[in-house]
Amino acid sequence: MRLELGKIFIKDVQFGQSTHVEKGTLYVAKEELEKLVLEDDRIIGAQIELARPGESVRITPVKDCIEPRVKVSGGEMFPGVVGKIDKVGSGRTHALEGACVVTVGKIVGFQEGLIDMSGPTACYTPFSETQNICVVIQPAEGLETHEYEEAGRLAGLKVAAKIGECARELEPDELVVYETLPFAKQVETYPNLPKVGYIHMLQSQGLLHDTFYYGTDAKQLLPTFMYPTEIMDGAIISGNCVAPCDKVTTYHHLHNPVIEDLYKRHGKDLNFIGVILTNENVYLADKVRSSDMVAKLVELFGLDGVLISEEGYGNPDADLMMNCQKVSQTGTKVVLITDEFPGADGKSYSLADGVPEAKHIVSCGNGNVIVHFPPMEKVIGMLDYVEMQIGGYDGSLKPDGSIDAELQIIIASTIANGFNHLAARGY
Amino acid sequence: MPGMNARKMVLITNNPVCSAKLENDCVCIFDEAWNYGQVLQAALRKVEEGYFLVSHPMAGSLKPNQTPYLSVLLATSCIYSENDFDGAAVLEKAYAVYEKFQRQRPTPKWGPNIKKDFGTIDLSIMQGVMGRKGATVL
Repeated sequence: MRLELGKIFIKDVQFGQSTHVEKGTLYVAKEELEKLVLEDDRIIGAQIELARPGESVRITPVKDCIEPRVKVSGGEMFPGVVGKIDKVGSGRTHALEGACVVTVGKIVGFQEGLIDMSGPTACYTPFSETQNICVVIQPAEGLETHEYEEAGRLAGLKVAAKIGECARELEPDELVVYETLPFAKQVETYPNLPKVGYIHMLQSQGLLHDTFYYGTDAKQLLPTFMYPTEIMDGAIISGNCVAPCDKVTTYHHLHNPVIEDLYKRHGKDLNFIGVILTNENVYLADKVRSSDMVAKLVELFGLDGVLISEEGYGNPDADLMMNCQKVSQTGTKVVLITDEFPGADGKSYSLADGVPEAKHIVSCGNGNVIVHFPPMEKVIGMLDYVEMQIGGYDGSLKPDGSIDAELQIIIASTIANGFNHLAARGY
Repeated sequence: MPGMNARKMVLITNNPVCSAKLENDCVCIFDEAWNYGQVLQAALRKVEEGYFLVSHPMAGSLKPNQTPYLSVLLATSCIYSENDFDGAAVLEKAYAVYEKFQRQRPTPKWGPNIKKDFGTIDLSIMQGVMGRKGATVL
C-alpha cells in the first residue's frame, strides 16, 4: 500500500461563514457544525467552541480528539463508521495538521480527561498545541450510557470529517509518501536488514473500553495483519476512555508515533514489515487465543524484532506479558512500551503483571504524580466532575478553580505509545 | 462442587446491577457490603474449592482504588490449559495490586450517581464475557 499524505498546516482557528482554510487559518461554520451534531436525536445540545494554544482555557471532560482529514482518493474517512466500508491506507489523504476536533461533555462521571491550553500543565498533553474545535454535547434525558457514548463518538467523527472536507481541493504545504510492499516483495527489497513488526494492542473490554477496526468492535477480532498506512488513514477509531492519561485517542491512531518512527528508519537500519493488530480481553480463553495467534503471526512472517504497545492498566498488562512471553519464545526480540502506576513516589510496582521475558521496556511516565493546575479564565465544558474523574480526588478542586490532581487526569499525558514528553530511565 | 447448576458459571460480585441482570444466567454470589478486595478473596476461595477463573479479575482497567465494584466469573471447568492461568496466582497478584492502590489512596465514598456509572461499566464488561462464543461451561 502506498499512501500520499498531504499536510495543510493550520496555525489559527476562527469562526467563519463557511468552513475553509485561508493562509493557514481554519475558519469553521459554527451553526452548520452544531446542526450536523444535532441530526442525532440522542443529542439535545451541541455547542462549538474554539481553544487555541496559549489561551487561558481549560477543557474538560474530554472524550475524544480527532484530526480533520479527507480522503481525496482511495476510500472514505473512518470507514465502517462514518464513511462507507472500504480499505484505506492507499491513495491520497489531506490532513489539516495542527487542527483538532475535541468532543466534550459528561458521559459517565469519571474517565474523561482534561486539557489546559496554557500554564504549567499544558506541556503534558499534545492537545495544548493544537487549534481545537471543541464540540460540547448534551445528551437527551434518560438516554442509556451505551447510546450516549456512541452518539458522542459519532458526533466527533462526523464533525472532523465535515471540516476535513474543506481540504479536498487544497494544495498541501507538505506531501509525505509512506509505502509498505506486499510481504514477499518487502522482504526482497531490504534482504539484509532486520525484519521488524509492531504489535498494536487495542483496548477491547466493554463500554468505554472499546476500539473499532473498520467499524468492528475489537473484542470480536482475531489478531490480524495490517499495512501500517491503514492505521494512519483512519481504519481504527477510539471508543474508550480507560484513564485519560493513557487513552489512545483517534488522533493518536492517525499519528501513531511507533509507526511514524519505524517508517523513518525503514530501509535504513530496519525493514518495517507491518502491524499485527490484537486486542485486550476480559475472557481468559480469548487472552490465550489472541496471544497464541500473535506469536504465530510473528513466526509466520519471520520477524526478527517487534515493539508492543498497550492501552490501559491492570487487565491489559496480562495481555502485554502473554504477548511478550509467547513472542519471545519464538526467538524474536521484544521491546514493550507502557506507562507506570507505582504511586506518587514511584516506589511501588509499576505494572499489574510481569514475566521474566519482559527485559526491555520503554516507560512513558508515572500517572500517579500529583500536579497543580492553576485557575483558567475560561472553562469549556464543566468542572463539576473533576473530583470524580480519574486522577481527581476529594478536595482536588479548590474554590478559586485551581486543581491538585494526579497526572492521569490529563489526556494522553502518559500515553503508552510514546506520543508524549515523559520517560523513565534506569541507572 | 455444585450439582444441578454445574453448567452455569458462578458470578462473584458486589455490584447490585450485575447481580440483578445476570442472576438467571449465572449462579450469583452477591454481597453489596463487600469491597473490591473482598470480592477477590471470595473468588480465591472458589478457586481453592476447584473452580476455574473465566474472566480476568482486573477487568476494565479501572484501578482498584477507583471503582467500588468488581465482578469475577468462574466455572467448574475451563477451555484453556492450566499452564496458561494459575487462577490462585492471578487472584493473589490482583489482591496485591488492590492493597498497593489502597495504601496510595483509598477508594472514595462515591455518591449514588457515580456508583451507578461504575456499576454500568462493570455490567457491560461481564455481559461482554457472557456474549463470547465458547464462554460456556463444557
